[in-house]
Parts: sequence; structure tokens; C-alpha cells
Amino acid sequence: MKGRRISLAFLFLWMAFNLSLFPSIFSPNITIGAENDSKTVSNSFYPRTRPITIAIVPKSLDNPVFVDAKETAELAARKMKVNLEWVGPFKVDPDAQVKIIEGLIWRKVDGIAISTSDPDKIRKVIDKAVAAGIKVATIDADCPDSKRLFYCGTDNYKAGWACGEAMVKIVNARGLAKKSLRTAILTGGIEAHNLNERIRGFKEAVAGKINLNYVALLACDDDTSTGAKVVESYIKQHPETDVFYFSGGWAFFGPTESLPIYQEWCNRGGIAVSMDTFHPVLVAAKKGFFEALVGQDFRKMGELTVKYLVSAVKGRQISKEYIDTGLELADESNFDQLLKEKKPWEMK
Amino acid sequence: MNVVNIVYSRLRNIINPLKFRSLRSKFILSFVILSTIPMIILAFFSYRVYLDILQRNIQSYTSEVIDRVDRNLEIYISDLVRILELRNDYYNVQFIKLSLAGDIEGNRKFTFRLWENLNNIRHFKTELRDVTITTLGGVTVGCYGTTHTDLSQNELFQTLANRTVNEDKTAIWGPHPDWLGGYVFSVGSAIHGDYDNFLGMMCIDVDAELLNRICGNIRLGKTGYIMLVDEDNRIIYHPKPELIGRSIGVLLGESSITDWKQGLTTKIGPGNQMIAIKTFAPANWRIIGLSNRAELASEMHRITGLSLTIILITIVVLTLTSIYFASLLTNPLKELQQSMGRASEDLSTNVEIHTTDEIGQLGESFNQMLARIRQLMDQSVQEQTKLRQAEMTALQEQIKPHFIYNTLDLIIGLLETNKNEDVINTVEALGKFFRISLSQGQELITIREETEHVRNYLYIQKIRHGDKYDYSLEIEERLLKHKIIKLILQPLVENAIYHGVRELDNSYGLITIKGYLQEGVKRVCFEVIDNGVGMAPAKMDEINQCLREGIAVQRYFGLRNVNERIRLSFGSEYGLKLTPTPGGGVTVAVLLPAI
Repeated sequence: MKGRRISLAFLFLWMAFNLSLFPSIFSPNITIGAENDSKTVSNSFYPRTRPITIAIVPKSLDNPVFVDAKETAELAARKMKVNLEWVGPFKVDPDAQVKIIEGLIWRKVDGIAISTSDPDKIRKVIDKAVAAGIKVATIDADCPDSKRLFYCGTDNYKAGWACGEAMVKIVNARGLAKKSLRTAILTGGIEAHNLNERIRGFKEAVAGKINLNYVALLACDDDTSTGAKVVESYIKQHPETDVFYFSGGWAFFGPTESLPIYQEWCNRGGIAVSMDTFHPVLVAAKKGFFEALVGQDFRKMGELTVKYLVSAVKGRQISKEYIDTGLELADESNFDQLLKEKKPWEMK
Repeated sequence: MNVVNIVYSRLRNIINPLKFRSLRSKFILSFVILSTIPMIILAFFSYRVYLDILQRNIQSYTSEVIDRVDRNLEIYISDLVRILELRNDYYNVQFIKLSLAGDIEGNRKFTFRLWENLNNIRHFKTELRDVTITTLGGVTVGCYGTTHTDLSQNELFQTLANRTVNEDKTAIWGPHPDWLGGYVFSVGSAIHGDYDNFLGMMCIDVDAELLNRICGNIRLGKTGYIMLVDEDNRIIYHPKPELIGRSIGVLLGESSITDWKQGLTTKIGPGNQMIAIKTFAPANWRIIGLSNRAELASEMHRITGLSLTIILITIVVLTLTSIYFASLLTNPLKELQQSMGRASEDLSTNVEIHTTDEIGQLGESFNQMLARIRQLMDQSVQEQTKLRQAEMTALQEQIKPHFIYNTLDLIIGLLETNKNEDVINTVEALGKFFRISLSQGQELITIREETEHVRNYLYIQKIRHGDKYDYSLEIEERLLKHKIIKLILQPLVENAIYHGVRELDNSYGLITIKGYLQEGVKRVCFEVIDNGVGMAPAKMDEINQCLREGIAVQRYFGLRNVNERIRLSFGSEYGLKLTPTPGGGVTVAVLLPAI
């Protein structure tokens, strides 16, 4: 009886061994329309001998703020002899961004840098990519509490703080420090961590120094025309607004002529401070649309992201989790100078 | 004919034991058979015709459906081809050129533009997953950004790159997974440079769900469907997703995929499936319609069941109807039969018929016939009575007392004169005379006896009247065996004696009795001819009129009695007729049937 049990045990082990050798017995060769990771069709995008491939996933393709970052990233990639892919949803869409990252995981790219549009939705897929052996970083917009390797971009809290400091300076200069000022804020996506950090920095910078009464938080999903419409509409309905803080310059990436009500509001003494120092934003500033600007260095962001990510892919240790790309402060004193240095986008 | 006879005899063999002897049973059986057989024949041919029509309709419907799928695919692909005409757009070409040149800074404007353009194109149709431009260098710009493509693994790119500039610039890559986890098929067109050099391609990825939208809702019968197979006989669309990607041979057998033609082909496949195939030329795909012939059979079984039910119901209804109609017909006949039965026993009854049809008319005729029979019977009784009376009268006439007295006186006279011989003869003649007169009550006697009777009478009278007249009987021998009503000739001879020859004063009388057959052997004619005093023509005419018309007058009793008896017995065409005898006297002609 005992001998029979031993024989059965061996038989079972032999079968288990065979099954481990031929798992395909229990899985169809081709499964269409099932889970992505069950596909066994040959990957048509990358041969086995492909060069290192890095993918940067912006929040959206239609946001021109990433153009500079893309350019420097591509230049850096070429220099390092790696492939760079720039993929993302055309417009801000966290779900689509998740899907794209999953596609990159399926394609087994070597590294991914993500500008997180919604940390809560992206976090899981970042962890999934990391689990798949892909080096993952964040760029421009971080995804805290994820397993990403590092974040390369602006310290958004600091950027917001800088905006707040500029605002305090302007309000004090106008002698309105004691007055309760009706304040509206325009942001991109309500859930975007980087933008929320800017708003937090801004608010903490002005707190106790001037008296801002936050009456509205407006969102434009990083879209230029939506931003312009939201601002115009709000000012039209609330002309009594005293202060506007823009956590990004989306509303001003287009022609300034599309914002006549806002311009009239500025002419009436409205105070505005904005993030971003891109060429079109500086053009708007020159027309009196802002008192001060705080810019990010997207060129540096693209270049450093690729460099650090390729290093990580190649197995080098990345010593710091946060790679700061610095801030650029602008006010009336240096608008002209910066305008000369910046390249117009000329996208349209 | 033999076959017909065999069938007929077999039918008789089957039907005879059933003993359909009554008119009612025959009528019901005939009605049911005559109604049912055409119905069964009609049902049989209808079944065949319906089966044929159904099969042709299914084939036609399947062909139509396949044509529709073909048209839908063609329309869709042609729309995509039209979109692909945008491939030579300035921005596309510039992007490719700058990309191939490695001009990153210069290309950023075009890249951004292309992202926007390609995304706009993608929204032309809901099924479009991606629209891309791929350069010869493997850089792909599409709706989701910029990627790198391993061109050696891209079938579409390889197909287009290997075509000459004069060849078709559009190609289709069958369903394959895209990198976003979808399943797409791709339509692409080559982009050529200024010198017709191949620069890359523009490609549209279409969600394979489109194939489901085009083919998925189509049902051929209850279980039939449409599927698509690529040029490598791989299933690219099937209602069961688990079969996509497998070889068509798994479903239809390897032999079924060998003889496909370009046009529409229809054949019977394994499992009694009807397979219709058409090649979708732009992609060299096959559109295959599979329908289950068993469904056709089940449909036909349903129709057969329905037909049989209708036939059975009809037979029952027809049988009941025929029973009803048979009753309508046979009940009056039965009544008629019963009435006739009663009438055979009692002629006073009448048939009671309540219908006005032929049976009613037959009953009416029967009633008339009964009435006529009753009338004839009454008439016959009357005539018999008359006849008996006439006979009795004739007898009475013959046994007149004075004839007997005279004859007895004659016998006495003869005895006194010792003419014993004459006495003996006279007595013998008288005896024969009365014996024949009575004839044991028989109405008919032979002409021989009648002749004998009148001969006896004439003998006696001759004895009485002496030599005043003579007589002769000229009866044809062949006449003697025929029959005649008795006592016809004697009254006529008596008249000839008493009103004819006895009245002659100066001449010798002669009575001649002739008998002969007339008109072949059908009629018997007697003539009693005397050469007596004769009679006035007017009187003769009067007597003839009385005899002809049967007028009852007191005069001429002897002639009328004879004439009446003849007419009562044989009809009015027989009887007596008086004519003057040439040279004087009267001839009485008696016409009788030869019996």
C-alpha cells in the first residue's frame, strides 16, 4: 500500500514536470480579444536585437508645452543611440494614458517616462510596468507613492510658491495687502498632482501676507481653446474679480485677440500671475495680461529624463529620486529679454 | 394498360372485402376517394415545388447576403482608400523627408501637425483605431504619437515596399493585434517621393470589430452565419471568437478549400452544410456563408406535418360532408324503396316524397304509375264484367227456347216420317252444338271447334229450312289450330240465314264462310257471305258506324254483341265490318288476331 502511494506521488510529480515544460497544452496558440498579456502573436514592433527603446508619455499630444521637451529628448536619444518614442492620448485622458502605458508594457520597451494626468489611475499601471522589468520615471507631472524610479521636472510646489511670492509683491506694491481680493484660479486637470502642487505652493506663499479670497477653481484639461473660453466666460460673469492665478499658461498659447474681455479686465487693474514662460505666454505678458510669470525648463526636462532613464536601463543606479529642472522667473523687467531667447512654436 | 388493370384488380381486391354494397357506402367512398386523391397528388407536387423553391430561395438569399457583405466591405475599403489619397499631403511628405534626414528640430512643427491631422482623420469613422505614416526609416507617426516600427515584421509595409510604382498602391493586411491591445486590420498606401522612390506608407488600422458589425448580425436561417477567411485560409472573422485565427480546414475539411473560385461558388460541405463562397477581391479574403440544410429539412417536416394535418382534417370533413350529402340523396331513395315495397302489397298506397329533385320526380312518376295501374285494373275488371255479360247474352241468344223447340219439333217431324238417319244426325249435331257452346266455360276455343260449331248449326238449320239455301265452309287448313273467341261465327250465320237467304223468293240461297290468314300470319279473317236479299246501303252504313264506334243501340244486337266481345278481347282495331256481296247479299268480315 505504501509502495503504491509512492508510485502515485512520482506519477503526479512527473505529470507536473511535463505540464511545466509544455504549458501551451492548456493555452490556445492564439487568443484574440482576451487579456493583453495572453497574446502570443509575435511582436511586430521590435525585433529581439532592437536598440534600447525609451517611451515618453505626455499627458496629451495636443499640448505644445511638451514640444521643447520632445525635441531635446530626441536629440539626447540620438546622441545616446537609443530609440525614443513619444506616445500619449491626443487630448488629456487618464484612461487612454493607462491603455497606452499597458501597450508599452506589452511591447516590452526598456523605459517609460510619464507625465501623470491622474496619479490615482496611473499609479497601478506604473507599478505593473515596474513589475514587468521596465524602468519607469515621471516627467513634468509626478505620480507620488508609485514605484517609479525618479521624477524629472519642475518642483511644482516651489513653482507655485514662486508665483505666490510674485503675487504678494505685486499686491503690496499696489497697496492692497489689507483688502480682501476676490481670487480665481485656472488649472489644467483637477486631479493633476503637479498642478495641485503649484496651487498649494501659491496659496501657502501668500497665506498671511495678503488677503486672497479664493472664489473659483476653474479647469481646462490643459487645452488651449478651452482655457481661453473658460477665462473669458468667467470674467464676463464676474467682472468684480480682483486676482487671477494661472497654474499653467494654456489659455494664452493661442492668439491674445481671443481674450478681449480678459484684456479689458487687465486694463481695469486686474492682477494676474501665471506659470509658464513660453513664447506665446510672454507675448501675452507683453500685452499686459500678467504681472509676473514663473517658467519651467522643458528642454532640460526632456534631455535629463532621457539621460537618466537610459542610465537606469543600462543598469546604473540613479542616485536621486527627484531631478529638478529649475524655475525661470519673469516680470516686466525681463519680458523682452526672454522673448528674444524663446522660439515661437509655429505649430499652426 | 396492364398496369392499369393490375392496379384496378388490386383495388377491387382491397375494396371488395369491405362490401360497400349500399348506394350510400359507394357514394361516400367515391366522394372521399375522388376528393382525397387529387389533394394528395397536389400536396405531393406542392411539397416538391416548395422544397425546390425554398432551396433556391435560401441559395439566392445566401448569395444576396454574401454580395451585401462584399459590397459593404468594398464600400468601406473604398472609403479608406479615398482617405489614403491624403497620403501625399505636403505635411506627410515633409515629415518623412525630414525624418529620413534626421532633422529633429525642423520636424517638430510637422510632427505636431501630423498628430492633429491624423487624429482628425481617425474621427472620420468610429471603427478607425489609428492612422499612421511610417517612413522608410521605421519611424511611425500616428494618432498616439511617434513610435518605431520593425519594418521586417510589418507585412503591409513589406507588401507596399516590394511593389513597383505602377502597381496597385493600396494593400490590406488581415486582422492582427495592434500594440494597444486591440485587434485590427490595416489598409495602407505607399507614399512615393519626387522620383517615384518609395518613402513610406500611410496606414489606417481598422478595428476588427467592424467585421463583426458587417457580418455578425447576419443569420442564415437559425444557425447559419457568415465568416471571413484570409488568403492563407485562416479564419479572420467567425461568430465564435475562439475560432478566429484557426484554419478553415478545421471547420470544413481540407478538401473543401481547394476548389474555390473567384466568383460565387455554392456547394455542400460536411455535416450537410450549404456553403456559399465569394472572394472579396481587394483583400483576397473569402466571404463564406454557411447554412444548415437540416433546418431546411425541419422546415419541410413542419410543412409536411401541416399538410398531413390539413389532409386528415379535410378527409374527415369530406367524409362527414359526404355522409350528409349521401343521406340527403339516399334517404328519399330509402323512403321510395319502402313505399314501393308497400305498394307491391297494397296498390292503394302512395309514395310520400318531400323533395323536388329527380328522386321526387321519380316518386311522382311512381305514384302516377300506381294510379294508372289502379285505373287499368278497374278498367280491366269492368271489361271482364262486360265480357262475361256479353258471353252470357250470347249463350242466352243461342239457347233460345224457340231454337230448341223448333229443333225438337224438327226431330219429331223426322221421327214421324221415319227419317231416322236424319234424326240421329240432327240430335248429334245439336249435342255438339251445345257442347261447343258451353266449352267447359272456356273463352277461347280453336278455329277448328268454332268451325265445327257453325257447321252443326248450319246442318240443323238446313234440315229445318229444306232446300231454300245451301252453305259452304272454306277455312284454310293452317287456320284451324289458331284460337278464337267462341260463338263468333254462329250469330253471323244466323243473320245471314234469317235476314238474307231465307227471304229469297225466286232464287237459291248460298251461305259461304271463308277463313284465311291475313298480313302474313298476324291476323285472321273470316267472311260470312250470303247472296240473300241484302240491305239498303244507308242501313249498312249505320250498322258499320255502330260497330266501329261501339254505339249501344237496341237494334242489331247479334252483330253488336259479337263485335263488342272481339273489341273487348283484342282491341278496337279488330271487329266486324259489313260490305255488300257483289250480285246481292251481305258479306260480314270478321278481323281477329292470330293467336
